[in-house]
Amino acid sequence: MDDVFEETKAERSETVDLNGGGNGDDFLKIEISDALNEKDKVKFTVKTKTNMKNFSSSEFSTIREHEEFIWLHDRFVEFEDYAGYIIPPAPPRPDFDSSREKLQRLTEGESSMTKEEYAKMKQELESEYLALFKKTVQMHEVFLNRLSSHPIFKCDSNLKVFLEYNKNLNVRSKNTKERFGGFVKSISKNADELRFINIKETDEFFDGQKKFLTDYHNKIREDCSRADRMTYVHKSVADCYIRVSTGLSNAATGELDPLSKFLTKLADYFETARKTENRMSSDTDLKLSDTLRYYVRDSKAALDLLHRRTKRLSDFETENRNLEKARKNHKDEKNAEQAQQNAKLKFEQISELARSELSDFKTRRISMFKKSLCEFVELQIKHSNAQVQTLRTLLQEQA
Amino acid sequence: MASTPPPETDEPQTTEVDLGTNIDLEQDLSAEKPAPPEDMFFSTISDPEPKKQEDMDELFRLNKPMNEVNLNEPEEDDDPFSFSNNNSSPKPPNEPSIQPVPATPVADVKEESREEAQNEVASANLSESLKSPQLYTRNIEEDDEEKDKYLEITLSEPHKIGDGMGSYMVYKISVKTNIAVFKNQEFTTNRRFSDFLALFERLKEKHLPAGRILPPAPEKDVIGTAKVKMAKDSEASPIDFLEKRRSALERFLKRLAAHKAFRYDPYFRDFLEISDELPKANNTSALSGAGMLKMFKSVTDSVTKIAVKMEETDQWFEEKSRQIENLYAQYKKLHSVAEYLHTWRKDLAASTKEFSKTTAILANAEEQLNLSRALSHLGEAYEKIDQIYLEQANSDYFLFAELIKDYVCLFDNIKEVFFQRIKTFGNWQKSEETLKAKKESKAKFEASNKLDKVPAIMAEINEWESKTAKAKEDFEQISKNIKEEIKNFDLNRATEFKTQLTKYLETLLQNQETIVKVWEQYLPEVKAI
Repeated sequence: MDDVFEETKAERSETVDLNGGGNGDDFLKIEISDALNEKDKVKFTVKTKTNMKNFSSSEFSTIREHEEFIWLHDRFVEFEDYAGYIIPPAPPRPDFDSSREKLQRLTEGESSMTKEEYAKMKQELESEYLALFKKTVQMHEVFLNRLSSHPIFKCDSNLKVFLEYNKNLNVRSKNTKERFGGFVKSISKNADELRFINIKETDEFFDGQKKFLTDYHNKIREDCSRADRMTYVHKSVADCYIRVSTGLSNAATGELDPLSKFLTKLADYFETARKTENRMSSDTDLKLSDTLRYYVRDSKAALDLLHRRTKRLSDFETENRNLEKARKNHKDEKNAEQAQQNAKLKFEQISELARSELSDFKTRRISMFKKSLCEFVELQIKHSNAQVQTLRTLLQEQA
Repeated sequence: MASTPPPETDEPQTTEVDLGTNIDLEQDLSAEKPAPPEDMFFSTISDPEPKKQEDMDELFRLNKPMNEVNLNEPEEDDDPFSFSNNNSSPKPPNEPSIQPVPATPVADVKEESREEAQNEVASANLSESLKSPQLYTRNIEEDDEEKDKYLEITLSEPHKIGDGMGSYMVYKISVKTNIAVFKNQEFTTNRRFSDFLALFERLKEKHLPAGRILPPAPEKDVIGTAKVKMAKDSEASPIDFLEKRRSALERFLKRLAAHKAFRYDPYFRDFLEISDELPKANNTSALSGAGMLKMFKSVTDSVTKIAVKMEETDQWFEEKSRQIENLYAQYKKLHSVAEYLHTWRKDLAASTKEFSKTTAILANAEEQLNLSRALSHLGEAYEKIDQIYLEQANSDYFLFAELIKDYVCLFDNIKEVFFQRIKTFGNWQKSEETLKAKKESKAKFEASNKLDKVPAIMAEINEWESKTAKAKEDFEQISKNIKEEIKNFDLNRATEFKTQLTKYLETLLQNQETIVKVWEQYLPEVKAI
């Protein structure tokens, strides 16, 4: 069991290049050229090619673990200047638990199936694991690429450190205190939300966006989980085909021809069919579910942006009140004025940025859905046609 | 039991073909026994879709016009037990010999001429219609007598009689036949489940000792039945359960109708014809007196199975028995896998439906018009696909899983039949021993000069001699019958499997083609985003 799951290397077959050509001296291309799964930790080899001046060389690579990606993401989230941007969502943690569980169950049930069956199912599991592995690599890469293709983000110093610094960033996963702190933060955020309800959103655009995004986020999350269930069941059906195929060949050995030949042919059909069904299910997962999944996270990031804006709005309103108070009391007026001006500026800045970010978000979403759905439907047609062909030939042979 | 075995068995026909050869479908099988309806039947399945009913009946109907009734059919012996029935001339699988018996029967010229003489109806065009709807190449064992006779049975949706715990379901049986022994050519009657069980028990009692393979008995299902009983009038009764049961019962009757020994059985005829309600068969319930008796009998049988070891002189039985055991085990496994597939497919239909719903909801939430429309149509596409999966799950069950299950039961019944033969052998041996003992007693009497006891013992010896002769005959007869039955069974199995599984493949094909259409229709929607 261990030899498969550990020490797995994934070959990078395609790179997501969001740079669109690399012009001038802000060319920054990042790819994860290699990945290794070692004792529960995945080590990504991040390779960078650049001609940007602020980097010390034009080609270099480092090894990063998942926690370091999260560290990078958190730096972006915390940086005030970026408050008006949608921060690309962090990649999900590599999780091979379900594959491990399945393998466990398979080894437990080994005695109840034939050697062939066991070998086939094991092979299925291995390819499933490999696919999962490739996916997680891709998620991490997409995250980095969104940063590298953003005109502002690509110049970020933390990103530079992440890409260049050869030693360990010493990002330990959050210890108890920090995790608790994060927990408290999220509670206070929720408290904020409640407070923010009272703030009147005068801007129609943002009001509408908030409503839309909250609604959308919830619904797409539901849809995504249903999609996952569907692909899981689909895969199970494909796995059943393996057992049907073995059952039929076994029966065929006890029978005489022509029944024996017929059953063997049927067994062969199921063996072929299950590969196609498997591919259908994994394509659904890759093209459809993953798109949904990505926009679950992205819509959350957009909501975070709106939240930050609302916070600034609330700060602005607070400063307004302070200014009024100061004017009434004729105390600290200059400071209050200054504070109010700052708050106002911040708020206006973020609103402007947010507006463009949100419409950008919409465009991105539409084009990604279109692309993924197109590919998805075309693949489904291809696979279904393959099934039809197999069945037609089989039936013709029988006639 | 039977009268003298037909003279054919003395004919020195030995075609030594071992069991391992392909069933040679090209051999001349004219004038062979079992009726064509057998193979026609086995290609039928009970489909939940009513429209397919007609196709099935097509396959069943050997000759549609009823005017080709053979009015000159020979005197049908009502007792299917009479093995010397003219029509049921067993083909010459030989006497228990060391050589494996040919899997393919050998043409018997004598038989042929006799039957042809009896047959008034021209066989030429009939054989045409027989061969036409076939997908398979199996050479039908055509009994010139039987092939123009049909006995079609269909079972309709059951309806409920009564309410609550005392209620029960009745099934309407519709029969169409041209067999003369039946009073009418078309008639219907109503029967409830226990009637079917009672019929099975009776037929088993009568035919099992003769070595006949019975079709699988309808299964009892306490929970399903209770649910049906308790469902109120306004609620829909658990549809799945009823459809599965109706289908199983219909197959049961069809298999009976297709077997020569059963179709003329008076019990069967009564079951079909008597228009009144049959007396409630109390002896089929588990706790009845008869139920208890059955349990005892099965226990003693199990003991006997372990205890009695028969010296098998006939290699054919030895090999066949092994083959049956093996197939039984394999098909049992296959059946559970098939059911597994069915369950997962149903789950797939359900989860696809869920996904289509949430996709539609998402489509509503999407602000951009084109994308929203595309998503909502995606939801619709998946809704269609979930329907397809549901249909597929039905095929998985009715065309695949149920077929395998029937055969698992049939294999089990065959094992029963083999065991009967062993019991018969045991009887014969016991008779022989008793006879021997009596003879020894006689010798002792004569030796010790107790001549007065001799006549009595002579009488006993005579009695036992005839008993022994009969027991031996029984054994030989059952052996012969079994060979016949199994031969037909093997042929039928090949045909039925091929036909039914081909049909299953066809549904798979249809469903896939529909799926392709769904996606092809949807593609332009996506491109329009």
